[in-house]
Amino acid sequence: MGFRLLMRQIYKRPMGALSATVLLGLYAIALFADFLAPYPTNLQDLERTYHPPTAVFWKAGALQVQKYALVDPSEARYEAIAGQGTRLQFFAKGHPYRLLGLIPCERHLFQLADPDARIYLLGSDSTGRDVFSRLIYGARVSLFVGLLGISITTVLGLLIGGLSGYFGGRIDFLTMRLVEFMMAMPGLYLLLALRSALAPHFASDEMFYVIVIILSLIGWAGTARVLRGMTLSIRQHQFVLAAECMGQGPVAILRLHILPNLLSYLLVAATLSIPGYVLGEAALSFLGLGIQEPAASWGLMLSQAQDVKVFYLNFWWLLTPGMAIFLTVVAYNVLGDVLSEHFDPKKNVAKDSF
Amino acid sequence: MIAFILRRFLAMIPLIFGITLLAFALMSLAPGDFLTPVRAQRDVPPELIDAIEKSFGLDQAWYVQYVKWLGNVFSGNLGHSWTYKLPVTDLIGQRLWATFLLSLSAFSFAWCLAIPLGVLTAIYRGSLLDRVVSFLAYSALSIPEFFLALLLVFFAAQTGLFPLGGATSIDYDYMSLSEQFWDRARHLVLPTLALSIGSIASILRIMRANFLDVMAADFVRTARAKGLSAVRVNALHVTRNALNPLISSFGFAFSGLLSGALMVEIVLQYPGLGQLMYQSILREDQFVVLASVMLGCVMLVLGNLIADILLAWSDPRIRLEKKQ
Amino acid sequence: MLPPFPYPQVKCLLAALSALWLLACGGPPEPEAPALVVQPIPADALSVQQPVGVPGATLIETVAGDLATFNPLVNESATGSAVIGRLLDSLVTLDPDSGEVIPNLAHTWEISEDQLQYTFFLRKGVCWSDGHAFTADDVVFTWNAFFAKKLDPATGQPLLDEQGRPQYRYNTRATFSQQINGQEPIIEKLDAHTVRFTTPEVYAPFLLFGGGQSILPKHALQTAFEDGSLLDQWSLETAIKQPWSLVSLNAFTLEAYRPGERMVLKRNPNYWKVDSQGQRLPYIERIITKIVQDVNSSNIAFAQGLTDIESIAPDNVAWVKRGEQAYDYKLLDMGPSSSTNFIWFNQKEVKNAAGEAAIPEHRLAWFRDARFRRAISYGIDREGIIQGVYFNRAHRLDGYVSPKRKFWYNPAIRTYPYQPQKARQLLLDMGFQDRDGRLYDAAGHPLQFSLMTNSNNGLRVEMATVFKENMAAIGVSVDLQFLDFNTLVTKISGTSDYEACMLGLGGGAPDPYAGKDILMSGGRLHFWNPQQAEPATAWEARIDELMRSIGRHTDVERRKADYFEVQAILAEQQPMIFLVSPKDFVGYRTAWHNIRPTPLGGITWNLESLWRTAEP
Repeated sequence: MGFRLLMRQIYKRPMGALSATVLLGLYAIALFADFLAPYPTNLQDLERTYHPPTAVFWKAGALQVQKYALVDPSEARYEAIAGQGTRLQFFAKGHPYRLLGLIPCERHLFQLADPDARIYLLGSDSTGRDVFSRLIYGARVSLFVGLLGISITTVLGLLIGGLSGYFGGRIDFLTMRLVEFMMAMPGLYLLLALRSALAPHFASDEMFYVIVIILSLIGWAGTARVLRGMTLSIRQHQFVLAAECMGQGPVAILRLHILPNLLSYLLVAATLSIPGYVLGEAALSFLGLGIQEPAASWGLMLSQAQDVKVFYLNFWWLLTPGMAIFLTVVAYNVLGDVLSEHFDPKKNVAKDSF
Repeated sequence: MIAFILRRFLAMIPLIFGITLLAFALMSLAPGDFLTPVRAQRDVPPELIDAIEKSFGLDQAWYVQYVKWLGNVFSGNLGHSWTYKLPVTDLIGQRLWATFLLSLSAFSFAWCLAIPLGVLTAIYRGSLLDRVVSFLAYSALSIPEFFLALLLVFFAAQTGLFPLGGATSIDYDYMSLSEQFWDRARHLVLPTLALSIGSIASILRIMRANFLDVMAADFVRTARAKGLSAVRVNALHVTRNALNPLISSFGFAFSGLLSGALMVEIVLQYPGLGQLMYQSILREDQFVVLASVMLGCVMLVLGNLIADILLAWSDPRIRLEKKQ
Repeated sequence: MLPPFPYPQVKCLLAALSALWLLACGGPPEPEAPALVVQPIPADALSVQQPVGVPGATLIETVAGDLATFNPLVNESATGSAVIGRLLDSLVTLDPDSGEVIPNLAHTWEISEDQLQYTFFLRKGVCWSDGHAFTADDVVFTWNAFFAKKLDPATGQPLLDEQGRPQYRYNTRATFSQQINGQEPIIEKLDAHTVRFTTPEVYAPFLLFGGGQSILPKHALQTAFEDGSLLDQWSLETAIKQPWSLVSLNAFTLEAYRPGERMVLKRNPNYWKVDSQGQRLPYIERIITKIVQDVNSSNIAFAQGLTDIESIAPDNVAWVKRGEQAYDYKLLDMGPSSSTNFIWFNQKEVKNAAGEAAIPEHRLAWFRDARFRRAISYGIDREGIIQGVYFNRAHRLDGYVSPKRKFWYNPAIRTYPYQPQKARQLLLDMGFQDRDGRLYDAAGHPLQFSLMTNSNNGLRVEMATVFKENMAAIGVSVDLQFLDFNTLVTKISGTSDYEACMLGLGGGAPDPYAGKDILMSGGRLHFWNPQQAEPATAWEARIDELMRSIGRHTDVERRKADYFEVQAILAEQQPMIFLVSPKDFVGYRTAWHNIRPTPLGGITWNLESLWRTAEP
């Protein structure tokens, strides 16, 4: 089958190319968040709360960031001081970090020459923290929850569904009852109940793992059921029976013969389910039951935007995490559709409508 | 057919037991027992606390508690809510009605909009209308529900056209009947929009695909060949057949009635079952949490059952099995 | 083509199920309210000196946060106090402009030469909302309820506790706060409309605190008092099912209450105040109070013209002001408020539900060390909070008394300007070690604690976030917990199962003795270590002494000096680390008349005289 071949096929279709590029871009941003973000997530600036995005202009041969004055503190209204700016520097030194968690580094993509001034690409929030930096760091949580969660779910689903489909009989029957049982629980309610049960046993910075565990526990049943059905049908094929006769053990058969045939389905299903994880984590954090301060996550940032003065005083930049979530979900959905079209054009539900 | 329904019904019962058992086990993982927040309250008579302790067996192991709780549920006693000072049954009764109303309106709105749109986009396939609607549907499927609700609140705040939340106005009780009706309707607009957009998108896409499938069928070509007009063919024959597979989604909508509205209720502060559950979790009002989880599960399972029944009803093979 | 649904049995079943369900939503039939008896206007009715108005209007308002009870002996929430305050009344009250004591239910009083006897002459002809007469019996009943002792059933003598003091049957806040230096005032009924109090020693604030006590109805609560269920009365369940049983003396009675939704107060037809033309007050026919989630929802409702009066949060003033023309309301700046925000550390040793210590020992040792608390105080950026969180609409608070109370405010107390370097240095001096920017104690425990506050106050949540960052900057790690308000109060005054808390207090009478519950070590609201039998530290003992002196002396300068010393000690020891005091803003719809807000009385001190022009 070949991964490279697959990628080439995806890039042949314009939608596939677009979504794959967007996703790769998002993950790259998340990986290199430390380098791209000018400030750490919790750097407050109480003199610049609810600051609008800073304008950038060209002056004196360099890019400059506009300086603002607080015109009305009672409304958090800022006005640009005409002609005044701070020089923008590229690849400059800023707060220390470890690139990819390993290499200690200090260089950031852009910084300001004056450490007391601020560049707010997407404005600042209620305590003066840079929304853009928090957005990028938040991408780590929101994007990797999906990847981690889907791996656990797939492994679980594969093991349970595959083995149950392979062995059949009583194991199959019991497993399918279990799967039906899991699928009969309403997702969000179970999410909340699990969270309130598990949370007191974990420290607040381990919440990320708690969320991943909870989401995976809810999600594996659907995958298991489908995989079991597919395993059942593949199992009847000649080459599997031949392998059994030759004495190969069940796990080896699963790995060598059945799994490759399931891969295409798995890939599509995974791509189409990751948005569920991203949305699940966002929902939990939005409700205050997921990622806690000081970590940033898109859901948490949206919950902080749920303040009435944000709406009335039009601090629209606080809603950008929602757009980020939307972008991620759309990209995954499009990629999933492209993949499913590629693997089985006949099964396509949404024919040629995007 | 009756046999089929009965079989599915019987299979549902152990499922519900299992779910409630799981929920109960989860509750017992949390520290403290059901009465922790209330022991510290001053104006609750100790006799009431003792009575509840005994009837729910709170000083015993969790499986014993479960059995006692089950017994209480069957006699209609779902426990007592400490934040609202009401029996849970009363509390849920109030909220159930509100959520039901919201889900019903979202459901009706979604169907009334999605079916005609699906038909239209299928008939005028490839046109500008088709492209625009499909694009919007795709986006609507991808937008997080609570973010959409947030945007709607933003919109309401900026324009002042709709109330920012709640189900009724403050002086609702003193309005005339017709004013009450319109008040509720106004408050339902934003939550309905937020809830229904996702379903509109998915129903639309499925309807469109089904319609295209049926349009390519032989019998349609025959009907056109016989001279029936395109409109009549499309409106009557094709639509009916395209609708068939969607019938079962009625059932799923029913199951989503209670659990689907959670995020929207919270953002728009609509006093329904979902918001109740969320508040109870925050306030550690365990009886209410347990009752809501159970109710949500029951609705889901019932909904699946109804979906199966409807599917079976529309599928002659199952309907006619008794004649074999 | 789909066949008709061929199974009538199933249809019947569905119909039956839906009928059952609809029925279930109805609920059992409600008990009926008894018929109302309207008594004639009392002979001694108070004639209010305000412009005459037109009766019949409805006042609509919102309140953030629900009540926990309607029982004044049990209530600890601000919402509860506000509502109960509209139902019950007291012998004397405060003048909203001058702050002096003025007559209320008692039209005159006499204080004896030795300042030990206070004789109150009650108005004649005053009736409760259900028509029963209000007499001295009610006053005597109220005070006896506070001080009723638990009796040994065998001997009939009061039971004693470990310290040899008598145990009270109903140990409420009033029981403690109405005691004078540990002793009880004696109350006697001279006749149906005269009551005499004898205080065990000279007690300056008795007129205000004793006279200002809300009176309970004897005829409604006597039975409960005798059988021991007094504290269970007037619970939320009673309010829901039988609101008329909450007998009231003030301008309004409870008509309906639905928890989490709304509360309706109705005009008390037996109210004892009249306007200058002899018409019985209040003019308002109904007050509908909608219960909302938080302050923001409350302000939104007002800004959309849905409510009539509202107190606006400082960060919302900017946009609420924009709607003044469109929705016909006005916003007023009432200057500095008396509300405070502060943080404290739990210094009480307590075991949680599982029997373990609620606070690890090493942390408790830090919390009890004044150097630790002072260091934390130096590390908080109060100016930043004022500018960033409150949009410059707040004042810095250094001590217990807000600068609004000009007379009692001690300007010379120790202050803690924002000096993170000094904070860090103080902690290092205490023995903490700096490892990679975080502080650890000698045993290797990281300097870390958890802070809780109520989740429904957005500004407090933001302050907590700022606090957390301020602390991170000096190497201290803070875990934030945002809890529901009732859960919070339960922890504070019940289980004491927490480490640090951020909360605020609002209002309060201007007399320094009003803080007795908080400042004295035996008080229920002595946040960091409530209801101590003996003061745990020397400085708390000194404060107890000073407070007793404040109570004992009537000479204003002497009281002021004592109170200044209390403030100085509090500033030095920092048991409560004060943060900021927000400014007061009120809004009201311009259709309402007789609106005369004062800094002391707020906007509703003359609620009974407010009226509005009828809607077209």
